[in-house]
Amino acid sequence: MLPTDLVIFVCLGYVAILFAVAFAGDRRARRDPSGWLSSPLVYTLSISIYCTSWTFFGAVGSAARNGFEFLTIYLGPTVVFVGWWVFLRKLVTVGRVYHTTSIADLISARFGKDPTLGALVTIMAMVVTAPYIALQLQALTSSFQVITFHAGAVTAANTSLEPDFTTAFWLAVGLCVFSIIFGVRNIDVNERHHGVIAAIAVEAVIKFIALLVVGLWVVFAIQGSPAAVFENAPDNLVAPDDTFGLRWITLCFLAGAAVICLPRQFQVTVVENSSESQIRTASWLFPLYLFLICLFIIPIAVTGLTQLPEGSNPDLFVLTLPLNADQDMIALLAFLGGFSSATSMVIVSSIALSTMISNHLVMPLALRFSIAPAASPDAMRSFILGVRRASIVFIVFLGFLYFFLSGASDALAAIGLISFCGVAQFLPSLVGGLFWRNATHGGALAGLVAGFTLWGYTLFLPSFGGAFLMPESVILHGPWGIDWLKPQALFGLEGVDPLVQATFWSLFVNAALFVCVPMFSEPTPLARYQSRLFVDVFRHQADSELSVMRRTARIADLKHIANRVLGAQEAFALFATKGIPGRRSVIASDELISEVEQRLAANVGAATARTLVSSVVTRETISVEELKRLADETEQIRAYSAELERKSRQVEVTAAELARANDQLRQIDLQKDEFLSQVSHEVRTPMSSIRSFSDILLSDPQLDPERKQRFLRIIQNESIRLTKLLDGILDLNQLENGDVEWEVEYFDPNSALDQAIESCEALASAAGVKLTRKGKVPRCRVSGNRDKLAQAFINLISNGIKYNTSANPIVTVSTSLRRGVYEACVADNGPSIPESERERIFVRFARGPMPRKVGAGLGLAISRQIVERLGGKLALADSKSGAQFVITLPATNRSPRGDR
Amino acid sequence: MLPFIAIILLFPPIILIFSKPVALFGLPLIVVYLFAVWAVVIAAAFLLSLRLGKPDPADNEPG
Repeated sequence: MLPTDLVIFVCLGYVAILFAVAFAGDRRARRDPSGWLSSPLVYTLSISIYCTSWTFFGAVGSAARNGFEFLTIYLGPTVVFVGWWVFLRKLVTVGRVYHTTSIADLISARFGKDPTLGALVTIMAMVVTAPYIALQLQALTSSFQVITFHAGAVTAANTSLEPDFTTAFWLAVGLCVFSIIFGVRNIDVNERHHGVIAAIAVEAVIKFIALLVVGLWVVFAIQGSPAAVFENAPDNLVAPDDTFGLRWITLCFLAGAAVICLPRQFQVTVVENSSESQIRTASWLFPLYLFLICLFIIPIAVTGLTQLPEGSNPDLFVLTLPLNADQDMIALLAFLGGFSSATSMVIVSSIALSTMISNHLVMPLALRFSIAPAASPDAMRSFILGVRRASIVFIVFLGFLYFFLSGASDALAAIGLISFCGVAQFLPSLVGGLFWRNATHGGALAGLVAGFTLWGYTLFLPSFGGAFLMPESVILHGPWGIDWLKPQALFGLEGVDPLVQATFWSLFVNAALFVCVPMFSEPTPLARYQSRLFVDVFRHQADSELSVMRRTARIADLKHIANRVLGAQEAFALFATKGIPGRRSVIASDELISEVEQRLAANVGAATARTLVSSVVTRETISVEELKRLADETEQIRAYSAELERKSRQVEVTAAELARANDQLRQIDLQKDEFLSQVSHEVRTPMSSIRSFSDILLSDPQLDPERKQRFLRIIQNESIRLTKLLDGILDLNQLENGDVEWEVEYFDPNSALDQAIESCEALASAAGVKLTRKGKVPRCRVSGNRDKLAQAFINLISNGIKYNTSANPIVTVSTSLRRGVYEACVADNGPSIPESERERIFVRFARGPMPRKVGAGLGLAISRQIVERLGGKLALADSKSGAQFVITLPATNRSPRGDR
Repeated sequence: MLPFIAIILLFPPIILIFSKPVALFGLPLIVVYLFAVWAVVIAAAFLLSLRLGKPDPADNEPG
């Protein structure tokens, strides 16, 4: 046992130190705002108010009773912080950029600065926090009682002590005083409390050291080694069978949600945050803190279970173990650790809640019913501060009252998890609000109300065991005996842990409503605008409200409001920095109005600030076009990139087409080159013979006349051949380009054939080829030019004559007329044309497989061009021997104009 | 990635593998496993935060 006076003296000394630290922190912060008080280390330590006395004492108790389950409370937050960039980073950035003052402020601002939502969240937070504060008070009093119990600590822990409400009362008073002095001294646009944070950091260090010292002492002084600890450990700490089930998952999830959603956690994590580097460090340092805290929980629990007498309260092992071994100093340190963890939690919770209550409950009502004093500029400001102070007292004593009423009942022990489940109801609105553009105020409201109601019905009210509002019969048999409405087995869901069940139902309905209601309602323009600001916080930090909100207000009116709320001095400073002349008629800029609203929001909450400013704004339009532009920006970017993609595909297609065209051009170019070289080759042969013979004639005048004659004939023949060749090229060119207009007439193709045979008869008889004509058809008409067709026939027949190497050469010409198609066939009994040459022979300069005979190689090409121009076809028919060319032409039986 | 790996390792069914009455260095396996995973996750987060940020002086807003 420790003497009461000593304990009180140590406590007071500790509190005095805290006061000093807070005072020094405040002063230092005012001198140097970005000093070490904003360092990531202090920030992380302040977050560790997550470890309340529920951790300090309760974790050991939980480990002794339920094995590893206590770890979930620290693993959940570890996952959240380690994955900070998933959610926490966005949340913290939103809070920092838009000067969020509390979780209620954030939710109400996100959904159109809605006062109802803010009030609802505040009330929920109050209901959840008051029992939690009561739990801290209970821990404080019982630890105080145990450590000062005259009959020794072990006896104290064994007997059920009457709670000492006097101690609790004075504790509550002390906490109020501290919170009021350092939490509500100033109203700041960022709502940061450097003094309090400094004190909290010190407390975090104290409780950390205390638990570490107790843990080390237990492991190495009592047990000897870590392995020895587990020799007598109970089963659920060595090989738990059913710990890792649904309840494990649920608890991890709830703890992860709570580390964001608990008002005090939101306060230290989001509101007090001043830079991203803080959260970056906290992402590993805070889990490390939790890790080290947890390291010794199990050894302490095991040792307590094995060394202390049966029936000792496991919640107080941290305290009773050292007392049992007469280690008074360690016991005192442990007591101090518990003291600091409880006080820090109460202080921050009450400050966070007081801001919420004054901003979202009292101020809106006060303004609506004109309770707030408007007489002098400073009255309003002191009114707000008064409200906040009163709120702190109200919260703390609400906790005290709860403690007083529930007494030492077991209801308090479970309140930690019940609170977690309660605040987890904020999660859908918070996460959805930050990531889902279309979330609406209606959805958030419906989700919160339903989730909170279900939480109360399935978890909170039954936790009293029938003592409060809900009688025991309802818990056991359902209201009015309706079985499926039993709070702990809703809809007949039996056999599931009540906490898991309550978490599932409340969050499921909450999230479902949050998602479904927006399908039936439209967000207001303001909510739409706020959603854009919050969801795209990383993209639009530079974008100001100006382009969207157009408001008109007189500066004097604005000044009046600012004076009332902010106080004359601050208001003057605000307007002075803006360089606004004080003339009455001057209209305030959008920028100034927004600035004033933001300042007001820090004092009275976003919703109230908006009401206040709106009261003097004479005209407000939210430019729908601008809003659309901003809201659609993402869509536009998406559409733009899709467009780009489409265009690049088009470009690819075009490029491919161009490449193809280029290939064709190259090929044509190649053909042209080939053609030119062929032409020059063809021209060169006769030219060179002409030249050589003329050279001979010129150089040798004494040449005998006979030879001279022969040479001249050769020259003439070659010239003729040359002329023919050039004529042929010219013809072909004209035919191919189709530039020459033919004289078109209806004529009998037989007459053209007769003409051709006549022309070739001389050639045939000279070559000794027999030319026969078979199957003369009746008269018919084709449209075109007789001479051209005759030329085509001549080419074919002369080819047949020229290339016929048969011993008994015959060229047969036959004609037929079938179903309007005139067919002329020129066949010879010369060598047949091999399969591979069949198409090639129609190409310019291509000759048949007859190296001996030399022609220009244009005849077939020209003939085919002519026939095609006449609308017919020239083809090589299949034949067993010789070549057989067939010309087919469309024909009519009678000419409309008669025969010529 | 890190939080998801942590979740997978710390949630059933993976965790059930280690929930056996086996001792490692005289400590129950499950205790060693839980705290080891935890420590590794913290170390990974630490390395990640070093990698992610040379602290940017621009985002130190006065306050």
